[in-house]
Amino acid sequence: MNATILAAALSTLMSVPQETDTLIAVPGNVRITVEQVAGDVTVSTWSQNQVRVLADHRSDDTVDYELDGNELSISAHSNTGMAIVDFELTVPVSAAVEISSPFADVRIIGTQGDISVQTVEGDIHVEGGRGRVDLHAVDGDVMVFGSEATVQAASVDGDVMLTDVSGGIEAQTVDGDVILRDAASDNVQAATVDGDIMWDGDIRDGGHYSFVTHDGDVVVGVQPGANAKVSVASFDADFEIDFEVSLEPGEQESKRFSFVLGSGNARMELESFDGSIHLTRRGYLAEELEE
Amino acid sequence: MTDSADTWRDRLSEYLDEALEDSERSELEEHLEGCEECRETLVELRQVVARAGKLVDAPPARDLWPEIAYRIRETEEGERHESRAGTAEAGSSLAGRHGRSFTFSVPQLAAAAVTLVALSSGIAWQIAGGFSARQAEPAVPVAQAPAQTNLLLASRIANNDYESAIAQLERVLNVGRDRLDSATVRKVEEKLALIDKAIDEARQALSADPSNAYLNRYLVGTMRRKLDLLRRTAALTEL
Repeated sequence: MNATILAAALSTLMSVPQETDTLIAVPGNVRITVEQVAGDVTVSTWSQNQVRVLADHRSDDTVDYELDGNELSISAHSNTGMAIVDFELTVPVSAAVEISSPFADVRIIGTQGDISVQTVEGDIHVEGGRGRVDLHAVDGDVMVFGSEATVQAASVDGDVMLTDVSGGIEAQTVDGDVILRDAASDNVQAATVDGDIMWDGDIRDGGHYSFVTHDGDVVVGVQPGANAKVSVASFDADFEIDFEVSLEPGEQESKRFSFVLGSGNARMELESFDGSIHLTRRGYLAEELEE
Repeated sequence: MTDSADTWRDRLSEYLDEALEDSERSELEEHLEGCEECRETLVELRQVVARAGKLVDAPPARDLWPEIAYRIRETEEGERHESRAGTAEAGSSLAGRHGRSFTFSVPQLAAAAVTLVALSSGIAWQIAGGFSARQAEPAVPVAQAPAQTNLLLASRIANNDYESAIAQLERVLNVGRDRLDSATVRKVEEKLALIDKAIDEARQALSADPSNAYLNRYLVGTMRRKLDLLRRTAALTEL
């Protein structure tokens, strides 16, 4: 825990805890913005055109609301320092949600509008989402489950894990793994500097898939009958493939080669500067992770 | 890659500019049919040019054109001076604006791609003016600026200013670092060091194999990652 949070926590101990429960009528297409410095944020949905805000905070913290058209802004302030407020929001299913909270774990379940979350220290967990989902953490994991959105998920020090995502994917971290499971996207870019890239999903005809790491492994599990032109490149990586492919003698040792699976309709790039590259069947990754 | 491929690879930019003689153009096209690496490089160069084209339509956070125009004027004046002194090198041209062709080497264009990404992803205001740029005059779109000029500028920045852009962003971060928690700053610095190590390793590999298309592309991607992390961290100071 950093010094700022520690000071705020000590201040919390000396003030009276308080819970406020607020109900705000909003249009169905409401765009909700939450801004605060610290405190966890949980968002779930209901079928009403109302936003319910449950806020746990100190007696000297205040929570402000401003509704302007379809824009609802929620923010936390403190008279004595940094506000630490835990929010539980219940929002219309179609709401768009934008959360900016440097020190927070953020959890969003079931919304179908755009989602944007930015944290510095804290994990981000999203289930659902349509349109665009943009998630950025510095020190924390980023997780998305069951989303039809175009997902941009990034961390600096943490893993990025996307499961059952069918929209476009841009997933990156600096120090951590990128794990993409049960994906059905046709446009995927995954990159890390120090970590593994793992993919277990369908390769769609006409799709483009790019998996790049510097110091780590690339493990890609594809369905039987996948059609892709696969380009493999490395500086000093080993390559293993669990399929029959046609390679020229010595080609694999050259560290740069390509081959075709099926009709080659999709493009796939597998790159590890200094790790291993493994192209395998779907399901392999799940078995490995379970072990 | 063969010597022949090396030779033609260096001329792909001229090919894109339609600056080759007919016979050279035919020879290059014949070479392209049999050289996948050159074909891939050509695709990448076209992407750079396409990016430059897209950049023209993107209104920046502030007006870049005065600075672009200043740099161009400065360079043109320099060229005129060189020309008067008889030292201008044939073929080193600037001149999208005057109908002359311009040519870049593949590494130049690759680096230009990094800079274009930086410019088009909102980093420009930081590179150009730091936080105070947010209070600058409303942007005048650079839509009138020819795409070639953007590419030209990008290439020049790429050649000379990548490190400078990084340094300026780092200065921006230094100004704003007290708005970030010290643990966050430390974490970001650790991860920047990790990227720097990757860049160094890619550069070392490239020095041993300069024509390796993968290593060139990889180096560009890793440099881009560093710019992106710096840009994102600079944005955090505004949270």
